[in-house]
Amino acid sequence: MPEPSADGAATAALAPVDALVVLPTLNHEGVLGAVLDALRTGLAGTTPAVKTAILVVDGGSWDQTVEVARAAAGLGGDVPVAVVELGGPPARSRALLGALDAVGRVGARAVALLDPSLGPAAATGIPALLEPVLEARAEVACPAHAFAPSEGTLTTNLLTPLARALYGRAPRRLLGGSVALAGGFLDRFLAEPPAETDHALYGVEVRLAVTALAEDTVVVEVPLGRRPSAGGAVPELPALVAGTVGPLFHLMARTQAAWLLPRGGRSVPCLGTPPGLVPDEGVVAVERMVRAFRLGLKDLLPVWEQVVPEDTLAQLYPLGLLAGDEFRFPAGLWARLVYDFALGYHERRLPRDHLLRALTPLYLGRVAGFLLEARHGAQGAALALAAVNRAFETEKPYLFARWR
Amino acid sequence: MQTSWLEILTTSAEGVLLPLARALPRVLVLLALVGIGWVAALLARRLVLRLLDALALDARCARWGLTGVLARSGVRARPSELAGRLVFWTLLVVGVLMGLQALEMPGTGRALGVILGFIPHAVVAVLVVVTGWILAHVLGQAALIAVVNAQVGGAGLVAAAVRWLVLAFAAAVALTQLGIAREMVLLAFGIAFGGAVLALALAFGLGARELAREALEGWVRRTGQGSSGGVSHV
Repeated sequence: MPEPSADGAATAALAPVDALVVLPTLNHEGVLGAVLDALRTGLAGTTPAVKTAILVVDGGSWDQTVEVARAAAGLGGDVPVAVVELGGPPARSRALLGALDAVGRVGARAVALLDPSLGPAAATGIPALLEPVLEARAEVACPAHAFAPSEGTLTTNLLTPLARALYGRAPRRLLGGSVALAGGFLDRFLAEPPAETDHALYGVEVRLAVTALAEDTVVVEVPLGRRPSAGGAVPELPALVAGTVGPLFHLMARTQAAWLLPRGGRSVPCLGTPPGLVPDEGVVAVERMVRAFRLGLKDLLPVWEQVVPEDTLAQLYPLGLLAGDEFRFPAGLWARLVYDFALGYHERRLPRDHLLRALTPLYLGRVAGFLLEARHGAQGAALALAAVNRAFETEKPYLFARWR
Repeated sequence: MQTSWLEILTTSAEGVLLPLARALPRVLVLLALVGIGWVAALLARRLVLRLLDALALDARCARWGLTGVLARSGVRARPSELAGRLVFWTLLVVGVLMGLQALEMPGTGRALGVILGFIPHAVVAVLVVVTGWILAHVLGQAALIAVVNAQVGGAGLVAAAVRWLVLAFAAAVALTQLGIAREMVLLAFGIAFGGAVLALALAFGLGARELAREALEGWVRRTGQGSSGGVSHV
């Protein structure tokens, strides 16, 4: 864990606190003020018996993020705000690791992590997320948002189905941008040895999710309405794939004792009516994704051949010939490809970064196929989502048979 | 006539057999040294294999991705097997060289001195070529994946260019190390490398201005949209 600066004293001064909201920041000056306002308003509305506080941990912003946070901390009020500035090179993962480390010194009963990029809309949902954890009804509470098929396609087509097939259950959104954790769960998590993928883009979030799912932790979902969209700079897609799928593949080896047991895939229980799918606003153009897939099929075959068996590759060739709206990418084929890449990652058949980045054109092909399937209304989208979850479950014996 | 015939026979036999008799011990020493070298090489190879097995070198190399890189470069043998072969051939060559030294043939000593002096350079050159080969493959593959993911055509060409540039650089360094036409190699590499870079810059900047503009615009557009035309991934 990175060492926090002298601001650690300010963090410890927040104790004793029942619920702590942690914001790992990196260049969030544009949105942080509004997020802190929304958080303070929301937390002030909770019962007076629950003492709440906010901790901003900055991973090395070079904009005015720290100044905005310090200004908010100086305002005083019912919900105190502390700011920790981490030294070292700027990185989002360092902010989150530093945040978790700082949380250990406060000893809160419940801790909420919030990605400030999601803006004030996500901040308003934090009290609802904290509630089941404070009431000891859950150890981990994830947000359940209504979302359109084109939102979070890496989550819906890979991260969640894979985690669900492996660990027998998963929230609809493995990386929801916000989460509430029980202090006891967090202590267990912090006692674990760090993973070498902790410094990946979403390494810590994935490890938190996998730890919760692999143990017998009580995980629930809390319905929070429409999914807020993240602002700010978006990482390039290959880096995003490597930074999310990489940690999940990596943790498969660490948690194999948990997932090699037979389990049935299901969603985690939702405290309320689970939000449904909403239609996309307008038609999402898939031509570029199909083109990216075709380009991969043309040029990346020598790389894929090192990971994917010939009979699976043979099923890809005809897909490259499908024109426009006829394009399809079957869920079963996609699940098998993901398992092949997981095996290749485990067996180090390629440099791992190359392997993860080489998955990108296949992923774009799958997203194009999924969005074309989901065009037939909310029912079509729900069916397409169910199909991908089922495919990962059906293909699981293939992974079991080859995992060494 | 008879005496003369016998004298001739004796002289001829002496002429042939005496040098042979004088050389025979040295030939036997040569054969013995080669034989000892061969046996020592076999034993050393076996010892190295056992030692590396105990150290789980093959598993470690697989974990570091080295085995995969070697396999993709056409080297199918296990890393421990490669190390064993290297030890075997080194000891065998040492045995043969010692045997040749024992022959005491005119010029052998000087020739052996030259060969022995050349060995360190040859070893470094081989290491440079092997490292260059692996690096060329890894960088070529990285370039291939990056160009495909940037959704730009000609990824194979770019990857091949990267691979050959690294190989050419490694070859130039290896030849310089061996002292073969050092000035010529440096000059030729400098001209070829500089020329290639200049040619690419001119081709891209002048001949393919439109393509460069489109590629940059496409990149800016993709970055602005969070890639993939309005789809959010996480």
